[in-house]
Amino acid sequence: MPALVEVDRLKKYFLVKTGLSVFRGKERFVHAVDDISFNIDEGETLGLVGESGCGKTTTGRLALRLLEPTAGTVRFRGGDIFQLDARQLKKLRRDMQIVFQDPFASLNPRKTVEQILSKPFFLHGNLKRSEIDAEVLQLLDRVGLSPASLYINRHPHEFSGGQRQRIGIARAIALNPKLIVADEPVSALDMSVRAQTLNLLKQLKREFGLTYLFITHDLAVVRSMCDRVAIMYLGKIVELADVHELYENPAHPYTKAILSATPIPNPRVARSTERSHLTGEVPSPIDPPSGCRFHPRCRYARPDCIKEEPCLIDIGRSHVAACYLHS
Amino acid sequence: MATVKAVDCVQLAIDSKEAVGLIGESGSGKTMTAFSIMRLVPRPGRIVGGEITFQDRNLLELNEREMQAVRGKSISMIFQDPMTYLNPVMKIGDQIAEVVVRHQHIERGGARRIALDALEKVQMPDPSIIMNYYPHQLSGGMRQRALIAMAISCRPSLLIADEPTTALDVTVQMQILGLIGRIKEEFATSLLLITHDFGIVAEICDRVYVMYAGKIVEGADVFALYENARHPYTRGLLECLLSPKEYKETLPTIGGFVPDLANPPSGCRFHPRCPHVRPICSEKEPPVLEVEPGHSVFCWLYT
Repeated sequence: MPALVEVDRLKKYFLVKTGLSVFRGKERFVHAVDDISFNIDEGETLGLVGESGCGKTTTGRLALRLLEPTAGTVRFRGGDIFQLDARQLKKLRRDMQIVFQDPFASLNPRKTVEQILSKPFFLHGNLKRSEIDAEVLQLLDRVGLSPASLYINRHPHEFSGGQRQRIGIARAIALNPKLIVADEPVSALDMSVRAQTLNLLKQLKREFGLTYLFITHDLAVVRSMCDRVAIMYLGKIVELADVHELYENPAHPYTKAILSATPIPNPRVARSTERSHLTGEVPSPIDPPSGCRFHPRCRYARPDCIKEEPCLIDIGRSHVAACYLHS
Repeated sequence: MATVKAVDCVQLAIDSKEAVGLIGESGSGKTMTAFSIMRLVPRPGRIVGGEITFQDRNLLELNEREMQAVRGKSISMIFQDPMTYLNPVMKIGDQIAEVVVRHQHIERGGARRIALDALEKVQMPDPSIIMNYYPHQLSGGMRQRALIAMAISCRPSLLIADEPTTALDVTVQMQILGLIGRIKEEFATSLLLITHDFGIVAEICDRVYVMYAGKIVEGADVFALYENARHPYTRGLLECLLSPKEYKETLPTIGGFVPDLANPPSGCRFHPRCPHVRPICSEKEPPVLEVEPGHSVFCWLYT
């Protein structure tokens, strides 16, 4: 079966100017996404995991062509999305949607729920007004906001964070998309609401055969949500494997470090677990370290790691890692 | 105008050298509890009743001058977002020295030496250089270290940490938690750690209080709470936790939403969401019940 999304050698550099322009400030680049490749199969959930500034959100936006790449391609059902003209792209947008992290910033505070949820139908469909109304009511029902008639004329500020995120999800599934990029969809939510929202995403995936690119920094969430996981560090994918394989046999020292640093919500296990503390913080993506970008924080670093960048190597069980320890 | 009872009849105790966790979801009143201890409740909020006994003195009876001598000296606080609490136009070393000069009446040179010492204690890289940096030149983790250095510069008896690692990446979070734990041991400080994350409580706290809608619903030793939680809210929370150690197909949830505190539910505030609700729960507030020594719960189920 062909992959739904194929990302090939994708790069995105952002220009930053340092210093005042009258003094001929230097032009420098943030290497947000730097030569990454991966596929997402139809019907799977791929987790994209990393710390802040690793390029995971930029990757998600490139996958939807909300940003133009510096280099590389993204193919959706075989076609390069960066080659499409405006009309073709608009058609494609029906099939790829996004759910944002912050349910307070991603809904227009001046619009009612009805206006927010009927917009996709006005933009993309040729439904009659009465048909759209019926669709909107059905959408609210699907995301668990029922009775829908109670909510339909309210504004976003009248909802709690969890309810707003449901509205954001309803908007994303309105046109029966194939792919949803979920960018930290539960990070802003409280614990008890987080589980409800994750269950909703799982249920919608089953019902509509959705494919997710699930972006998060939380490895505890990934374990229960994703089929495969890609770990990013400073613009690079350093490891990619099936979720169970990754948690049982992490290969890259960075993956091991973030797994070890994820709090375990059980005092006995937490206190008896050996922890490998990482020192330092993520370096600037403006001047990323030479060779393996993780080498300044890696306890296994050796001279090779500083000189040349390791590529992703197949280490079996459809598990790839970019580290000289495995070559 | 409606009155929001953000913190309502909360009772908690922190022993000397003890690490106590206060856990709750947003709006549960955990931060306001901490601000009340410091008497820093932002206007128009105010403390309308109760007692805060700290080293045998009721803090609510002190005048503002006396309270200022407590704040930053005997009790100090660190916050989720260090950038908001550091002065952006003052060098790190000067900011820490200012606290020392104010509370210990030492001349500036000596205060700067204490500041440098504090930065070393929090394992700031190149502390003597960082002394001359401004907050914007530091990374998130380093800012939190600077704030912790300031908080411990006068060797407080109680350190209140309000979501100290929520804004940090996981690898840095572990570093800061380890640091807070070490500092607590080294300075024999008590710790009140406020968080929404059970994982963090599990790492470093001795005892935990669970807050819901402005009330404490359960308090116990950390192991007793995990293994033998009594309150339906605590149980629900523990069940819907996600762990990197285990896969869950369908995640258990607590139905419903957190109530509006301007108009809280009658009786037990959790009753509209509680799976074990009984008629009395909506009528009367549950009394406190000590189910085991040191383990108390506010719930009608155990009466």
